[in-house]
Amino acid sequence: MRPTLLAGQGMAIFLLVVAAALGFFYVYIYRREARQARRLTGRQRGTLRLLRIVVGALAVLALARPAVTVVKHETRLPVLPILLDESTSMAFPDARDNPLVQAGSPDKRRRYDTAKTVVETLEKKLTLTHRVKLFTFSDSGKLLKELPVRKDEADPLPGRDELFAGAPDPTGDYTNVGDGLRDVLRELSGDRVSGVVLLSDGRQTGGAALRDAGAQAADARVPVHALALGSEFPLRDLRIDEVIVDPEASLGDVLRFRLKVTNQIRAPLAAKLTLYEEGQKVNEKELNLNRGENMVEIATIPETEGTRAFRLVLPAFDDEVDTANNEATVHVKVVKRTLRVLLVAGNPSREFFYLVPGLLRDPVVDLSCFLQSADIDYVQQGNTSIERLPRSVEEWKKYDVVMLFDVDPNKITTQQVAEMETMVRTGGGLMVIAGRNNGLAKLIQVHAVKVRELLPVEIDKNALPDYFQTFETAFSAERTPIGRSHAVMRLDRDDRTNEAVWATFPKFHWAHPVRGVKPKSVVLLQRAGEGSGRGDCLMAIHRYYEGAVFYSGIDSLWRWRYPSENYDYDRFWTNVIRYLGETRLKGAQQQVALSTDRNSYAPGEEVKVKLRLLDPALMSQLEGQQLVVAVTSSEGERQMVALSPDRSGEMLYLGSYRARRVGSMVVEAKQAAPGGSTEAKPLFDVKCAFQVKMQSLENKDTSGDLEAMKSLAEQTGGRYFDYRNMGGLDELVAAIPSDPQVLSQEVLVEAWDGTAFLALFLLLIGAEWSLRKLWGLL
Amino acid sequence: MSRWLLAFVAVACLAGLGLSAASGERPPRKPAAEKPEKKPEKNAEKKPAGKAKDKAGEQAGEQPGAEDGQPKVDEAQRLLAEREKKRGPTFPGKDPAFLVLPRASERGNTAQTLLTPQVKEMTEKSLEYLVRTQGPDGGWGDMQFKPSNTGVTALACLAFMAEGSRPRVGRYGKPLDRGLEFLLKNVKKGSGVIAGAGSNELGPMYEHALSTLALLMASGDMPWKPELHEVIGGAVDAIKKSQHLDGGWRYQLTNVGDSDMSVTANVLWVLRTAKKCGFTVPADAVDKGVKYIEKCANPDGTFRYRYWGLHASPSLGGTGIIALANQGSLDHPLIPRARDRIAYDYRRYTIEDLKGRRYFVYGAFYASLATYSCGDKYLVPWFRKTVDVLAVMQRKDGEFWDEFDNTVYPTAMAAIMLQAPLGYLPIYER
Repeated sequence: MRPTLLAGQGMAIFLLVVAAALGFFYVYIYRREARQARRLTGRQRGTLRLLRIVVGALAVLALARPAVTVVKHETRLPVLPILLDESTSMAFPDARDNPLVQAGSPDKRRRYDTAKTVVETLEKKLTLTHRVKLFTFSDSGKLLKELPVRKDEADPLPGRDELFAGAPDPTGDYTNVGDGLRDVLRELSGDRVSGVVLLSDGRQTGGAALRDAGAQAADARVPVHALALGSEFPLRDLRIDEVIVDPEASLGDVLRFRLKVTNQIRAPLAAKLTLYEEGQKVNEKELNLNRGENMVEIATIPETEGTRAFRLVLPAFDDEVDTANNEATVHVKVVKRTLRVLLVAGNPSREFFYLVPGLLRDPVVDLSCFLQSADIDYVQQGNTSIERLPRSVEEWKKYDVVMLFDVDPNKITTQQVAEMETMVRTGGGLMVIAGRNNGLAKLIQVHAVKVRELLPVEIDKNALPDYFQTFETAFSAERTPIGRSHAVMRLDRDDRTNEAVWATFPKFHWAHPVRGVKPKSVVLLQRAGEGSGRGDCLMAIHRYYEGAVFYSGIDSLWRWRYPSENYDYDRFWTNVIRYLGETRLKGAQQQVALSTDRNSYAPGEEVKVKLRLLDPALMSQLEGQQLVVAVTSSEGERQMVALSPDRSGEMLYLGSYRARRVGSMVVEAKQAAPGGSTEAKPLFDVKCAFQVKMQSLENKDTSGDLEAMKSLAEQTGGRYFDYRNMGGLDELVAAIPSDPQVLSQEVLVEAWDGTAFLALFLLLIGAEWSLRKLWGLL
Repeated sequence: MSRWLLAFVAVACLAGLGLSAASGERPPRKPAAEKPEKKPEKNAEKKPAGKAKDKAGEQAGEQPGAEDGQPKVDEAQRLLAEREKKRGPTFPGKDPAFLVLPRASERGNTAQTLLTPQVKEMTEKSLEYLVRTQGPDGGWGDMQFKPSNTGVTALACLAFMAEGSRPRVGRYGKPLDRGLEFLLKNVKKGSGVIAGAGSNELGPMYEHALSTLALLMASGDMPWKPELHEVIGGAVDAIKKSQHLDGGWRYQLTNVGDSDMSVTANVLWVLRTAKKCGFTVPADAVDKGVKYIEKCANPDGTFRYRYWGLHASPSLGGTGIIALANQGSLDHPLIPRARDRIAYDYRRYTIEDLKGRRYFVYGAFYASLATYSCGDKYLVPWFRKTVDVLAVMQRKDGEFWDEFDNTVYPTAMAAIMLQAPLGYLPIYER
């Protein structure tokens, strides 16, 4: 307690004047009453003087405003704010490995439910030692409830419904953790804050940077205890994202389904993929899926014509966020369609022995053989037996692919060669296999112009076969870099197996001499060894207007029957036939793949369009051509997007489109052949689709940002918990200090401004007046 | 009478008289209840047929692309193979001779498994022996068939072709070319018969048939011989003209007299190959020949040398199968019995038993063709056992032999069958 006078310096002068005035007043009174006072005793006079002096002193003292300063101390419980994320992402299922989830009921597995459980757990202990304030945040922090402080554990706690009555479910559109944290710190700036318990998945969608908010908390010495909900993985889900299948399939041929399957369950995940055709199970396959995107394949052989519904089903796993996406249904039109192949062979060579059954084994091939050396009354082999070679363009056009295998040029007319050239020009396929019997020089000599044009290689017309030469030295054949990736040379879908298969093939002894390769031709196979040049070409292809021509200078591919007999041998020929006949088989060349970088976009996002050419020969053919794709909305609005060749050298054309309208969009790439007749018969015509839709940022990434939460805790000196250790909440309680808040306050009390002082003053005045009355002075 | 003729007469007689039974080859009536062989052999006999596949499976890791010891199977190939297997062999054209057999469901490694270093070495030595024994005229003779004989020469040529050589192309292109030239030089003008001085006096049908076969196999690879088509056409005509009334053929190129199964099977084989090479062969000629073979069949899967014979010859099992298959009837009801019979014989008998058989190499050669067409299940155990026998039989210089000390034709036959897994000779068909 510290006494003081509140009157200022001016007041002190005033008081001196008053005291002086009182003194004069008293002197005046005493003189005036001097005659009367004489009858009083000295004691009585002294009493009256004393009373008057005291009263006067009291009056002066009151005017001087005497006061005392008193220091008061107050003890309060510390505050513990719990900051609860109430954005919609908190409605996602929490990590299954979280012990709180496992302990809970199966229908309460949302992240928000876990957060509620945490709040309830903390509430039981912390309300005894803290003033617990529950805040929620989405875009900003709001006080949801201040929990009552309990004296002891027997005191009742508010129930879950009461606690979260103001926010029973997460509904916020944003997760602004930084803003929420700042708001709470601001709100509690006058309180002793023991720490902040933050319950969130940490996936910020906007607002202040979490690092800045963390710095602010660290400055305030408020540790933020981050309890991360969810996991670092996206939501638990197994889904079929995409099914890639030809819209049309051939009856009796293999129909392949390529599926993009996303595994967000665990890695590796064993799952069975089942394929149903019109409700009947037709195939199933055991999959071993990695986490994330997987490309898987399943196939069937459709045996019924018509539009068939194929359903692909993956099993549903526990706690999947969505089981409806575990299956997909596609409709495929199954048509009876074959590739008509005409094999014209000069002689029954050993290749002919193996080639014919190999082609006949292909369910799509309808083969007609014409062995030129056969007896005149010989019944030619094949699915469809013919008696003579075609004699008009129309007859040639009945075939999709023509194979000329070491043909005798004298048994085919120039007119027939010209008609065949027309067939190729309008989309047919031609395979020329050079052999030692006749060679290509003879063929060129007899039918020079058309054959020269058709061939992808340059042949010296004067290099007639030297029958007397013996070929004893073996040579190896190797694929060119382009050949390694070309569909024709692919003998297994698995890269490693494919390479291993090629490594096992034996050597050759004879190959047709080649002078060079045409500029737009693509060499697939060449002689191995140093100094291999374009003159060492063994196999080449090129696009010829709307068709394609394949050249093989080896007539002993039967050597590839070792080590796997017909397996790889048949496949090679099947590859070539299907490549050459693809235009006819599928309506257009499918040697391109059109795609966008994603399937779904938000308005304003950039859609990257990618046209991948699968055939180097097609790339050569399109060199210098301007490629465009059309993007068409569901309302029919059409926009052209130019594509440019990829600068890295990949066989790609790239373009971009800015998504504007919401809805389904279709990208179509349709290209006429250079020099081709009309656009009505395109070189390729492929489509792909994507969606433009409003997308919540909350759904964009469903994984928790555990790293961000951990960093925040470390930055502020708080504790970090996630699904791995959330069972140890007792450690968190122990880590939160419960030191009370002690408040000290100095209080100034004015001594004169009270009843006691007034009563004393009145008493003294009253006594003086009464004594004077008593003693007869009045 | 030439020794060549004598040899085949002896085979026929032994088969017909059932002397094979006296030599211990006579099979039991109930094979299933048969006691184990007298002298079980290490390795060879401890491997039952069913284990062969397991052994192959153990080596699957060597196969390209195999992972964890399991070969990777292409699903599309598997689906197509399953479908074709269900459907069975088919002939898409008008002639059942042009069989299209179901595709393999997976990339097999049988060839790599069977062609062991030992087999390769045996093959190499036998081919080198043939090169060394080629006559200055380009042909080959043998102990019983001197000087050069077209039948022996044809077999030697086929052995080189089985290696992957073609006339004037490949490692054995030169000796092969010379051998084929020898055959062409021995074509008799007018009759079209391909048989020279060293041929069988009783009838040159074996020589003629085998020579025709060798020329057919080379017919697409000899452009410098434009007359080849005509030569083969004449040879096929000679065969057609000499079909007997009973549907079969025998030594003489005449249509008079009885037939025997061995010659008939060889001729049917040639006719089918001729059809594939563009030569016209009447369907009824083949039908009649196959009917003759059917008449020679016993219910237990063996065949009689003559249809009116009493006893079967174990050497004819393979010829029976390929004769029936040549009609395009891989599902012929007689084939499974004959196939099982061969499998049983090679499983049951010891190496010494088989080696001691009359004309073992001859019988094994046809059995190789038969088991090859029946699939790996039958080929693999048969091949391994045969290799064991041949390994014992092969002499230092690489040759194989028979009872009459012929060494060239057994060596050629052995080389052909040892190279069968390569899949380079179209007479081995699946």
